[in-house]
Order: sequence, then structure tokens, then C-alpha cells
Amino acid sequence: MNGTKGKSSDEASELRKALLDAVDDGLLALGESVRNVMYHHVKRKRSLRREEIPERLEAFHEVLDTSLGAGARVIERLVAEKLYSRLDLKFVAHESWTLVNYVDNAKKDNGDGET
Amino acid sequence: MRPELLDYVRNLPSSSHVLFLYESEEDKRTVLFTYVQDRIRRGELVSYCVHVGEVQEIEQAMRDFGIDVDLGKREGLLEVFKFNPKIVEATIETPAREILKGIYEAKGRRTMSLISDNSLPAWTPERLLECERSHGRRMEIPLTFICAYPSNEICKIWNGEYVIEMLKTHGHGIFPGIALPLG
Repeated sequence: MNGTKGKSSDEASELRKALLDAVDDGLLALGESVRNVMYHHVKRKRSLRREEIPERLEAFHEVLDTSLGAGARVIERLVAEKLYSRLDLKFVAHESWTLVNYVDNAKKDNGDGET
Repeated sequence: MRPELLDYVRNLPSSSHVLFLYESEEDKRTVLFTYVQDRIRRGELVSYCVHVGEVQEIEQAMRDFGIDVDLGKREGLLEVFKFNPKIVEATIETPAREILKGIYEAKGRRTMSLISDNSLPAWTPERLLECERSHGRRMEIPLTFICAYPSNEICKIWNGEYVIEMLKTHGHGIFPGIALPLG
């Protein structure tokens, strides 16, 4: 049992780190200055620090949506592609999915459905 | 620069209001000159407004890029001109949207593009934002307006919140690694 729990915790930690790195990489497409602004803006609007994004993904999505409009979907898909690549998961784009949907799906595929 | 990004630039629909944030002079010229070259080839008019540097310098850079500047000018498809600071004062009396409508009328109501290779010090942030807002996310006339800004400079204004407001006033965004619809 403990071994299973340990594995699950490792997977959650792996996914968390992969997600933070994927967000960093995805936002970098906007340029380093704009990426820094986005992190600052998210913190200002929702008191959400970069490190808290995996736990408050919906809030992060909402701020992206408000700031970038239709572009938010493009950036979120880019983040999702980078996340799936880091986790060695097959990425399939879905027109209606947000980053929240992609991450939920990655958790299932990564055997980390509980977190 | 990613080919998909330049494809997006070439395929910008008419009447687009575009925010272009660049991080290097080379990237700026690649994006803007790619667009200029494409529109001239289509037989559309391009007006390029120079804020920093001289007109001759930009024209030479266009030639070096492969644009036939002299032919473009002879055929009335390309004009490169120096920014006139009086335009800032003019926008106090007349909304920027109406000023561009006047330019479109004066050019014979042809499908055209205006590229503003911006330098921020000419404007106060508030005035510039008001002008950008006056155009809306999509221009009312068949004039594509590309507003190019140095990313690191614009991101310093209002502790970063200025660029967030700029994102909300344009219909397309071109960034160092991606181009996407906004709004």
C-alpha cells in the first residue's frame, strides 16, 4: 500500500513540476517581458503566484482568458502540448478544451487521477 | 523566426488591428518587411511610418531584405515617411479612428495597410492607449493597422498593466514566438 501511495505521490509531483515548466515554456512564446507581465498580472488579479498555478488552474485560465481573449486557447494548447511532451503522453488537440481539461486528462493518462 | 508565425502575418485579414511586440530589431524587420513585401505583391498600398531613424535607412533595410522599394514607390504602392509629432496633438481634437478614415479617403479608398514602427516617448501612455482604443479590435475601414512596439519598453509602463490594456485593444497579437487572435 505504502509503495502505491509513494508512486502516486511521485507522479503527482512529476506532473506538478512538468506543468509549471510547461507554463513557463508556453508563456515564453509571448516573449520574456510579456511572460513576466502575465505572471505579475495573475498575481495582482487573483493573488496567484506562479508556484500555485497547478493547484489553482481555473483561476489561471480565467486571467489568461480575460487578457488574451481567443488567444488564450492558443497559448493554453501550447502549454498543454509542452506538458504532454514532458510526460511522454500523446497529445490530441480538442477545439473546446481549456488548459484545465488538458491537465485533468493528463492526470488520468499519467495514472494520477486522485490529485 | 517560426515559419507559421510569418504565415500568420502574410494572411492577416484586411481591417486587422494588430499589436506587434518585438524583442529585437532583426525580428521587427523580418515580420514587418515580410508583410510589406507580401502586400506590395498583391498590389495593395502600404504606408510605413518611421518613428526612430531615417526614412532612407529603413528603405535601404527594405532593399536589403529583397523588397523592390523603387518599383513600389513608382507604382504608388509603397510610401515610407517620418512620424510627425503633430499627430499626437491632432488626436486630442480628432479621434485617431477619424484621422485614419481621412487618410483612407485621401488615398482613394484603396485597401491599404499602415505600419506604425513606434517609439513610445512621442506619446503619453494615456493618449496612446486612447488612440488604440478608438480603433477598436477591428478597423471600420479596409485598412490594416500594425502597431509595432519594443516589448521590453512597453512592458515597463504601469508596472506591466499597460501591455495588458494594449492586448485588450487589438484584434491580433504578434509576439516573438507566436501570432494569435485576440479578443
